[in-house]
Amino acid sequence: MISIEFLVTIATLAFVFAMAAQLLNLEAAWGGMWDLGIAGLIGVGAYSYVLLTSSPDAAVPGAGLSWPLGMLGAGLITAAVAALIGWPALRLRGEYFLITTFAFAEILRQIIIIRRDITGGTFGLTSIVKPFESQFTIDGYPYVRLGLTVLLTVIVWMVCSRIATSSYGASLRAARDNEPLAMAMGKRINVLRLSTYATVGLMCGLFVGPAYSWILGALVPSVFSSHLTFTLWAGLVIGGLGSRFGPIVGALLLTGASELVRLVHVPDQFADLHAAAHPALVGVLLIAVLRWRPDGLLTESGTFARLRRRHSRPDTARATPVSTPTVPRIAHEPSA
Amino acid sequence: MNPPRELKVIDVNKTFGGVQALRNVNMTISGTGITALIGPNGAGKTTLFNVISGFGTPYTGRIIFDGQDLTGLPVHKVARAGLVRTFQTPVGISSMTVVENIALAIAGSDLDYPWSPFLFWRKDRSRRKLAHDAAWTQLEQADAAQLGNRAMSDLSPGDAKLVEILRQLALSPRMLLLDEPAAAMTVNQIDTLSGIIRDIAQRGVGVLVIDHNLSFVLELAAQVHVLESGAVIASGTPAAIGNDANVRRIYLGGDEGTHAA
Repeated sequence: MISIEFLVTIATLAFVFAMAAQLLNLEAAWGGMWDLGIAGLIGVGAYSYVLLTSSPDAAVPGAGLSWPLGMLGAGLITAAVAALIGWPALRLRGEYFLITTFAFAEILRQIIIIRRDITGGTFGLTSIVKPFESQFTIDGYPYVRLGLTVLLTVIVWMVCSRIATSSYGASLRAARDNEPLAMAMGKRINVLRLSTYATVGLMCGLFVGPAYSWILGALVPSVFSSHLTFTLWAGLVIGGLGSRFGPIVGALLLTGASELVRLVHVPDQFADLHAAAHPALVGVLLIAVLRWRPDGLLTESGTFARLRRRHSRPDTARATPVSTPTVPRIAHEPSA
Repeated sequence: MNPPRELKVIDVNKTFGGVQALRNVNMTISGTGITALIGPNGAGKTTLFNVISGFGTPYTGRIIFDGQDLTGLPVHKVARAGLVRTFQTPVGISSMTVVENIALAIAGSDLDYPWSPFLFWRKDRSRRKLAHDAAWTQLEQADAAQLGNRAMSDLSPGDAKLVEILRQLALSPRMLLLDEPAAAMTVNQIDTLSGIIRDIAQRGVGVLVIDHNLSFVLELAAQVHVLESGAVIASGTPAAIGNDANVRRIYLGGDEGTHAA
């Protein structure tokens, strides 16, 4: 039986993924930084948040801060970690950057496992501070948590949206499209990319990590394996790289579909097959989308065509092609 | 006290592995008017262009522009110093329209930080509006307003070359380096292009143009430098260059045709 609590928890998880997929969209689709280490950044964010907020008397002692301060601190720590990783990694391009970020995420996860005095190791951290938990009943809290997560998703969407329409966003996409040209236009590519990567780290720590920890009973390193990274990538590709709503749509669809597979009841002898159906479904969904909509359900060109209308003026002289020679001529000097 | 308005290339050497691409290149390019750099394929024209614009560091030698030493500076600093180049393949910023390409150049780079859209949103918005208006004006003055809303990939090769020049001109350079602007152009288009380049020079922007097309550059330039096998073999007025025995040998072939690339 599908319980409503179960659906609410799945929806909350889906919105956490929607948040993370938007950040992946910012760095990978607009910034051209194909990051396979985003699970590592989310992990740093989640661990920082839990360690900053859990009480000093817990099994693994924390700093005992309030949850808003914990989120802020986690954001700053994750931004610093991202800057530290990005500084050497962003000298690399394309697949080399991809492999390096993948390795960094694995190293971070191994550090979490090894330093069990600080991180709880594979046993995990169990004293997770959740906002407003004490003000609500155990039955009511999942709805509050869902509301909070949706609110954070909307905030991330607004941040990404504003970036998309800004000069900064345009420069970021210019550097992705044509790096030599962007440099020749006076753009500082390295600063542009490093600051973007740190911003993604900031938001992973500020929003995604804490929100993820709220739905976990225990924070364990296996949550932040490459499986998380690939789930986010699959969601982003299904929804549409570069689109503003694409990552949200893709993440919700993918999480919904793959979690609901768990609800299908099968006899015990098929339990292993059933477990395998989970990643298989992700694969089938990905193939189906790429077969019929290679750019994803929504597209970057669609997003920016809508945003573009603000600047294109409906002037007939401009809207209709004029029958002048293909190469026009400078008739007189521009005044400015 | 103003430093001379000129680009000086001093004793530049550049090697790729065992190949010496540039040998002791010395030239002074006037900061006003049109200067041409010609030479056969593989002569080192594009290498010299890259060295000047920051895409490669010379092995030895210096690049001085308006009294400022640009040797070894990163590309964006060279561009911000007013020395702006175009590219041979005018693909532009492919995900943007023509007017957005030009507006991006006009808008400048001081709001290129992740916090700018949040701390300076009003400034950013009005800047983008002004830049788009200015970009439309620039397109209209170039008689190219009908290209404004087109995607870069939808342009004909000739139009793409024009947009390449207009976009880099929108960066308000003090000197514009044009990398083979006439390549892939028809005779009519080349005439139009010559008009555009003269117009740029008349506005006080120095122009350095490289091209294979001898008649195009000899007609256009006040000063011509000829490069062969990485070395300057002749410098002078178009008339002098047109009569230079070495240049004629390279371009027309002759008794000593063994060096022709």
